[in-house]
Amino acid sequence: MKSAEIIFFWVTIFMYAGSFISHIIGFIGNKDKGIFFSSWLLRVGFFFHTATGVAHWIASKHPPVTDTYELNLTGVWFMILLFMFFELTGKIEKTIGLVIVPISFLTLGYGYLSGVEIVPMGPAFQSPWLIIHVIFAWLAFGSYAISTGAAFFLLIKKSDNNEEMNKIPPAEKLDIISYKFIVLGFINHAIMLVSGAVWAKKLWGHYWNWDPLETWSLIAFLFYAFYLHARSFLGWKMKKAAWMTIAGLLILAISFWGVGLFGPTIHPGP
Amino acid sequence: MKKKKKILSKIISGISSSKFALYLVIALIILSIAGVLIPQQSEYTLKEIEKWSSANPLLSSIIRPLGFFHVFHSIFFLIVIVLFVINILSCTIVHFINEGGLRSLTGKAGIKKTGFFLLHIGLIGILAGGFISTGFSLDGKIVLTEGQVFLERHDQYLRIVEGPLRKEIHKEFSTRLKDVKITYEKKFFPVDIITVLDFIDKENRALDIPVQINKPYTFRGFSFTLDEMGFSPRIVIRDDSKKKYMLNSFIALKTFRHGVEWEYKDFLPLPFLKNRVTLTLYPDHKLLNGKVVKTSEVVSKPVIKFEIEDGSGKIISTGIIPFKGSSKVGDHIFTFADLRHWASFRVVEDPGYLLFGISVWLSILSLLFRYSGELFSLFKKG
Repeated sequence: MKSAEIIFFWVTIFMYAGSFISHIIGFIGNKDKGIFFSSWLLRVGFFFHTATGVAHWIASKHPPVTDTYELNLTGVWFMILLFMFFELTGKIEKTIGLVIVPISFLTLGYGYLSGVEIVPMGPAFQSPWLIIHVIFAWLAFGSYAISTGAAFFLLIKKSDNNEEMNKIPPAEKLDIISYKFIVLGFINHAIMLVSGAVWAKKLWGHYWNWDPLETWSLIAFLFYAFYLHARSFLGWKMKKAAWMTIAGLLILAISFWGVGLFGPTIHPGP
Repeated sequence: MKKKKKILSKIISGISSSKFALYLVIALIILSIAGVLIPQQSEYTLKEIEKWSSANPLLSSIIRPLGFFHVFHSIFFLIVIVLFVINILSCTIVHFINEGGLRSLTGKAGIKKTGFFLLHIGLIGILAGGFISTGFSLDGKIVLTEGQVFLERHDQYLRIVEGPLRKEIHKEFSTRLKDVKITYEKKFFPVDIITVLDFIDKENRALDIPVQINKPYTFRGFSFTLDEMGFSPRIVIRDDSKKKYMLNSFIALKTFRHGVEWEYKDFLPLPFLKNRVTLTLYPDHKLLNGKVVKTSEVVSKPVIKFEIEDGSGKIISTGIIPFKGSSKVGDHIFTFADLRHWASFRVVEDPGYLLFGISVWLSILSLLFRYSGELFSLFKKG
């Protein structure tokens, strides 16, 4: 990690942390200024986050998609990009940032603590399928995280008439946001699994190896398939669906960060 | 007659129902979680399973007869998959008929419906492809030293796993490892490994074929995937007292990776050696206070360090054998006569891959159709 990258990285962390604090102040104090300020801090943070990624890419001479630090750096970048895109186009509320931003800077911190030493890109990583696999993995995670943000507010919202909760959109709107982002995440998740299978076929000779990480990712995929089915055919909506969304993100988080606990995996992970 | 019809229609509606599909998804989730939590049988995990079994004797006594150490090939998993195929197939047909057949695919709602039907057809294709792969595939491992030839026959594989439904048929073509070229970054980190292979059988020949990591080659349906590489020194062992040559062979040393550091090491399982002898290869070296230190992974000044152990595993003697030179190792004279690379390949014949591949892409496309409305509302302006 070179000095410019270190500076950019820490500015990013402070901006994201500031955005989160400002969001909390705005939300609890019911002040629009806090949330407005939080959005701007997030954008400045994103600018420095991009600079961190570019600096790392130049120094390592390969896209940041190989080790834990790089995967988390890239992943959070896509997550924030996704959130900012839908927030700016008015598809989601700024309030959801209250869930997205802490997930982002905690993920960045985890990546940083795992080691930032630059290692040349080994032959196994030199595949365009890896780039596709990683991008769609994080777009899926970002979509599911936004969905969880909406589900979280749906669960804490007591009533649409409650004045203290006027920063939170109506419950039905949150339910629809949550559902649509699960759909988006599910499609990205499917592309991630397929591109991973193509990469695995080229790398190991088999498209599926029942490795703990890929199996856990399949479990998460099946869980979201269950959600979509239950919503369509059993009418599971609102609170029931919201609890499922939160459970889904926890299952997914295990496949991203916790699967090493269950035994060795041949799959490099974040 | 009416009663029979009623029962049959009840069974069909039960099997094709969405509720049944949900139960099957739950069953798949549970079996997959079991597959992650319980160590799964493979060539690498035999010791791990024994360790787990002795730590959990009661659980192990239940799990073993149920086949849960091989959960994804167990009878339960197979039953769930078969039921899943029946469910998807019947659900698709019932929906298709109830919704007016081909007419339901027209109009505005037609895109969603087409997506729904294609998705289910794709899922059946994925499961069928997976079933063919599991039942009929061959997965073998071979290790070749530069110049060595492999004949595609059962007994020529170092390790081989075949699907339970596959008949033992081999194509008996030969493969020769011609060359291994490695590019290192900063003399230590391999960034490019190219192996060059010749494939020959009675009718076809493919010569000078590069096989790299991530770039396999398929010959007569067998894909060759580069797995690992290492060094094979040629060792000549001579018993000086008997004036007799005991060995003259290339020995593929194991490659161990410690982070970015690589180590090439193995012991010689030779019955005529009284003590255990371990050889470690240094592709390039320097001597520092009498100790051998690796200076690069690139072959420049190779040397072999030997270690002799007594019965308790204690090292009793150590020394080096220079390239093209000899050293006395115990009662024998060891000569480091030549140095070549070895490369290991996974050799896979998978008849289910094509069906699986087509089906997954069909499923992705149909997912986009099925959820086109939701996606459109997310990306449209306003």
